[in-house]
Amino acid sequence: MQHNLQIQLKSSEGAVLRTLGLIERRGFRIESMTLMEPGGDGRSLTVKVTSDRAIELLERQLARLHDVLWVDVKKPAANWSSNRLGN
Amino acid sequence: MSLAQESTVELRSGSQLMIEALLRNGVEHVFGYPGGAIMPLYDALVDSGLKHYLCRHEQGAAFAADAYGRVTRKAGVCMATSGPGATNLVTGIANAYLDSVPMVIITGQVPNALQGTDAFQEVDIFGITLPVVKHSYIIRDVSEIAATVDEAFHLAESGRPGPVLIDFPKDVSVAMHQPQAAEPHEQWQPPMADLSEIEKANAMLAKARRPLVIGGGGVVIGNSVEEFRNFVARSGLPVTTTLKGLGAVQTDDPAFLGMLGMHGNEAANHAVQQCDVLVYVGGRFDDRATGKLSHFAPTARVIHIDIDPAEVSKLRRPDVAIVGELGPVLDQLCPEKAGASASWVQQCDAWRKEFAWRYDAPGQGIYAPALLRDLSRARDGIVFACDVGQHQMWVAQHCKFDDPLQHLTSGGLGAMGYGLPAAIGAKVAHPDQTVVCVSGDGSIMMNIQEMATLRRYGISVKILLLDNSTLGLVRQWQELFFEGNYSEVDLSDNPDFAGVARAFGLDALTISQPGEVAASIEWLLEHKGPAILHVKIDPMENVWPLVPPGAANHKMMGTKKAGAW
Repeated sequence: MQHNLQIQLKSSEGAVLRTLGLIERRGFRIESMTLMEPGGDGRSLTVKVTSDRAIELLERQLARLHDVLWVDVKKPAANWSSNRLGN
Repeated sequence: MSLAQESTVELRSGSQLMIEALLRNGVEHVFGYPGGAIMPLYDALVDSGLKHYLCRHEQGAAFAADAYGRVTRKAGVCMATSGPGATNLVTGIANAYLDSVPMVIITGQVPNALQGTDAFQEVDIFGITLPVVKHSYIIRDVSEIAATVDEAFHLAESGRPGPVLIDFPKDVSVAMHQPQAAEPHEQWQPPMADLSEIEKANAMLAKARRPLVIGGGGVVIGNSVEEFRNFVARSGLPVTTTLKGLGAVQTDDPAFLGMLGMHGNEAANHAVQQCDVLVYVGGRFDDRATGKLSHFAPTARVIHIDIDPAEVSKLRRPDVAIVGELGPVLDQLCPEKAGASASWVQQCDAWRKEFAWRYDAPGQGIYAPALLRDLSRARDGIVFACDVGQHQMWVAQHCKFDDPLQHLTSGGLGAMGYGLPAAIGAKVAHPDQTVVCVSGDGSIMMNIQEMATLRRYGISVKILLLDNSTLGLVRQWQELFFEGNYSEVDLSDNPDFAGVARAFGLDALTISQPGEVAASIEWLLEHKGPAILHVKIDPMENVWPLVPPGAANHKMMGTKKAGAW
């Protein structure tokens, strides 16, 4: 099953590594990712993942990281990319 | 600030600021080992008011800090230099992570400018420990020290506790800065338990016919033992615990069915397999507790209570999930006696009697379970710090715990070598308590150098070494599951442990006959100063009962009915 995650990170050192590492360790394959720093505090990480495991569990595991401000699980890839990225 | 004012402020080094921050966070004792990159911090340590214990390997320092954190519920602190000092801490950090222990780790690091150049004793300890810390920091600027340390302690101790690492580059540790006060930081807010879920749980318990409670390590970590015991007493539910939950109810409590799981008591495992409502408090459905997960409590509706939302549905989807602080939740649970059929209550009672541990083992040698039972009942309140192996399971099965902090064990990681340094940490935290390290001839060699720490500081830890001249638990599995193909488990060429202990400055006694047990227990407990009781036991003794790997919990081997002996 494929999912798209939007993760708002603090700008703290190691936040990206910590977050991506958790995703892989918990059994999710990272298909693609984008990191943006839209200004202000923090960075926005969007990740497309696949796994047989429950995305809700990964969402809660990510949310408890101190570096993570919030996590949002988007709808399946096709809808999400056309809605959010316009491509 | 005017120039005139500035000149009156006495600048501090980063290392002094670090020590001040530790003191401000209530730290009294630290465990560690000096070396190149952390020398400025050790320089500032002298006459600082912090009491430092020099362990003889960084792993020992980390395990000691772990145990100190468990028994005080405040972050235990360890420190080491960069490179090998830091990597030697890693097993101890992982141990604290898997058992949710509050710990703050300070590692020296090469100066910022040298990082990334493969400098002498440079390793990326921040990167290495990412999977086994609750959080971690690299302090890049001297101005960040106070805020970082304050937040680190808050994170380590709040919510579900865990280890927090602070990597401290040498240039930061010598940079000068004005004094730093405590800074406000983000405060962890406990999740508010959903009242409707609590009501659902209460309705389920009221209608239950065969209800059961499992107490996990969270009951202990969350300081909710009193609320847990009140809940058990009020509801009238039979109760079992995980390895880490031992002591959540007293061992002799008539409602207690023993520990569940791979080496649990059959009464507990049968009750779990047959219950219809299961209240799992502060546990995480670990595979050593559940056996084959799909066969675990197959007829039960599950009420899972935990402070960590990420534990809900990780392994078993509960029918009711209550996420919140355990104490307040337990106080709202089951305001009256829970529903339970008379036949269930009688059945649990019958199991408890039928599967009560037996100590009439055949054989001429010393029977370790009986020795442990006698030792734990010789005095009230003995703290047991276990190593890992057969002896660890025997402690869990046969020792008496009136309080869960009497039982220190490497539950999640299963790290041989934990016992002796853990005993040191516990004894330093609570010098008035009797602390016994129960070890095996395999485990003791993993951190035997800490005998020097006992001697140096006169730490009166008692070591009970159960010596079967083999890696007993591995040998047992090879016997049972690898057709007796014994591979690398023979330790018959062990050193003379009593002689080794004496060389370290400990007093030692070796026994091998059952008739020597009673007097030697008294010798160990009454001895002034650190001492070791070395007990030779039968190499072929096994830990029974046993749920084979991949089996359901009620399919136990070595049961009394099947003739364990």
